[in-house]
Amino acid sequence: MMTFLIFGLCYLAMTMISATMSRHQHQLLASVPAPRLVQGLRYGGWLVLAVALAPALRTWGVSVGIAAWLGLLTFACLALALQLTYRPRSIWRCSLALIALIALIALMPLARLLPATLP
Amino acid sequence: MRIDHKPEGIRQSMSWLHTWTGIVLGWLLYVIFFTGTLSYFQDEISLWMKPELHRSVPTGDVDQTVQATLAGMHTLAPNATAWTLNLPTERRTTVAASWREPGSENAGRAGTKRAELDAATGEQITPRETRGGGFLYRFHFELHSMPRAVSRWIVGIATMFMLVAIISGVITHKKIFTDFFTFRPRKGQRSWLDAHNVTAVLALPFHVMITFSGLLLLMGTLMAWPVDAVYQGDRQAYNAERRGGGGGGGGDGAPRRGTRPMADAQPVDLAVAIVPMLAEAKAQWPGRAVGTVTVNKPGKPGATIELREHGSESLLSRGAARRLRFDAATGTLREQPAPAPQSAANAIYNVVVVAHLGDFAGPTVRWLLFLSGVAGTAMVGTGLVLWVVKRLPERRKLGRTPWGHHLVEKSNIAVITGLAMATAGYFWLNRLLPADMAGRTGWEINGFFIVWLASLVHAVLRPARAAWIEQSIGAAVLFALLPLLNPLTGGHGLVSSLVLGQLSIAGVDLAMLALASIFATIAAHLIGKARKTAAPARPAPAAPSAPVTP
Amino acid sequence: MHTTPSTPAPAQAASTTLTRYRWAVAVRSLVAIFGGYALSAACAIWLGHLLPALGMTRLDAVLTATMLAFVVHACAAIWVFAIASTWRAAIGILVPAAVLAVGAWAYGGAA
Repeated sequence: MMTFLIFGLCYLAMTMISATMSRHQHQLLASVPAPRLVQGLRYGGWLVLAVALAPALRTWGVSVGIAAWLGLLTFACLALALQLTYRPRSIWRCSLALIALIALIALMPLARLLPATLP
Repeated sequence: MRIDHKPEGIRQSMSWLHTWTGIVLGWLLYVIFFTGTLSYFQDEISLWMKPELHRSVPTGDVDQTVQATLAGMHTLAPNATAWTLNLPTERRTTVAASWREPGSENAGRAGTKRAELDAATGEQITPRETRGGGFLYRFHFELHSMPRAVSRWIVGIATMFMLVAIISGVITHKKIFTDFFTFRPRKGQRSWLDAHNVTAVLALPFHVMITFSGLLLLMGTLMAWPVDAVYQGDRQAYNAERRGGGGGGGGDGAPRRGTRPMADAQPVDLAVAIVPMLAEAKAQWPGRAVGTVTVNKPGKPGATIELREHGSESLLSRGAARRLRFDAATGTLREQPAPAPQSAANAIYNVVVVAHLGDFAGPTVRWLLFLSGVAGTAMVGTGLVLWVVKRLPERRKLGRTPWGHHLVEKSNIAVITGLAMATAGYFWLNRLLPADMAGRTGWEINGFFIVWLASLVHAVLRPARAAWIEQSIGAAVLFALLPLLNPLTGGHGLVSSLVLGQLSIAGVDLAMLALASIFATIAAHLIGKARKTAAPARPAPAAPSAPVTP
Repeated sequence: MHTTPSTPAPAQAASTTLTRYRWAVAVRSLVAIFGGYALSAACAIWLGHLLPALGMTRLDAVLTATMLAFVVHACAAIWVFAIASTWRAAIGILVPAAVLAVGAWAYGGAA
């Protein structure tokens, strides 16, 4: 599960960063984005990438965690590159689905508290 | 470098350098990458190649496995000075036991005896003799049938060429960020270059690590000068210092100490004694399994049992696992040796080298390393093909093919499809040669080289396009039939291995199917292309029934 | 490989150009491979001797020196082919390599 979470976060991060590149903007966005949005996507992308590192460090420790993070990043980039080539329109759907799944995973620890509060 | 000697920028000079360092030893680098990538699963391959061991199915009850194997060891090696039991893992379905007999202290590695024990019953299983995945692993850095010093130099030189190719490749890649996600298929040379760039850049951290660490792993051969200078030629002292202080690996057995107080003279029932020890290990290492059980002086007074953790948390200490040492008679926990702290230099070495070797890697990390190796193999392969494709216009203009182009084109086939067929042939022979045949190990390996040589001859004799198609089909068929051959020759087929949870055996079968589909795709693609280029040459038929293919 | 469509030159000039090119490639290759190796080995020996004086243990010094040697060799090879003049490339590698090597040999004899 952690593997999927880290992979998903890397994928989202790289999707955001690829949207700042003029070559991919017409594939991902309806119109040319405003410069502020581009900047936001760039910083946001790097931030999400850094966030992806945290569960990797937690699961595997520092040295193996960094190695695993880099490895999963590699294949997230590869998946995105193939999607941009063959199925660019599926990227939005994938990203939204991933955000939903990651939110679920992140909120799962909170769900364990619910039974105590239910009548 | 330019023939007309005009000045050129750094991107142009690095492009020249990248092409030459890449192509001169590219064929060897492909072989190194291919065998190296497979080596991440060398244990699984070895297991697949010993179908006798497939019947051992771990029950998941660690206590029962340990007790059964301790009983088995009593029968097998009652007088041994120490037993080491490597328990089943996600990679291994049997218990790998090793021991030393009394009087073998000075025999070195030859004094260690080994056996495979059934995980449920503790009985010894004798598999067929084979080098298994170890042959591919050794071939990866020592090649074959030449003195080790020579082959390590050859592989080392190729590795340095690779490092220079990586650096020059990065310098020359002008659009490294713009083209990060760019792959444009069906555009001939452009597509090959895109594929080469994508596999190279996206896995760049891995490629840099694997290449530099490859050099470090061969540093004893390639760069012994500082050692000889500083230690004044005393390599023994250097090796002793590396083993003792810096390396935190520790030994496999507990060091013998003469002043240990003797326990009572009754030999201990280890099967009973071990249960609370396993429970202690579970308590101390939550979520981690016991990897190895070592019994010192089994059946004698003063016996100790050491439990070692499976896998490790850190690459820095080179996977030195946590250990618990118990007195066998009383069951008391004596010590918990911790891994030694590492200096910065050693830590860097360890991290990089262990990442290369994949030692102690759990399934996720191991798969990431393997897939990165696949990307690396694809990087080299696309580079080799790109070199040929890029020069096709030049060949058409000349009206003939220069000998260098022939050489590269034919060796590409021998190395990309040929090596695959040789590997498949190695697996085929493993099952077809009788299990009790003398010298079968040598013949499995001979078969590997015979198939490889045949592929080279075939590539030389046939036109390039035909050779690619025929060998791709050959590789696809050979690999596709292996998962069928497996159960027919005494192994656990895909259905059995999946049902019984023997994922390592199933994984090898699935990987063979994956390889078969890759080569089938290549063959189908090339046949389709051949049909398309042949179609316009045929005169359009007068009958309206045949539509013109686009 | 960079072949340029140059204006057609007389046959003799073309073959001289080709010969010059091949010489340049040969010299740079030899300098990069063997000169670079000598330079990196000599650097490694020097580092192996110098680093313990800065407080490192013998073992760590040797390990660090060896790891850096590979970096030196790779960078030297890149530099040899990046620099414009073949002469400068040869001198730039061989002279330092010779100086360091002779020095290391002398130091080794003295120590």
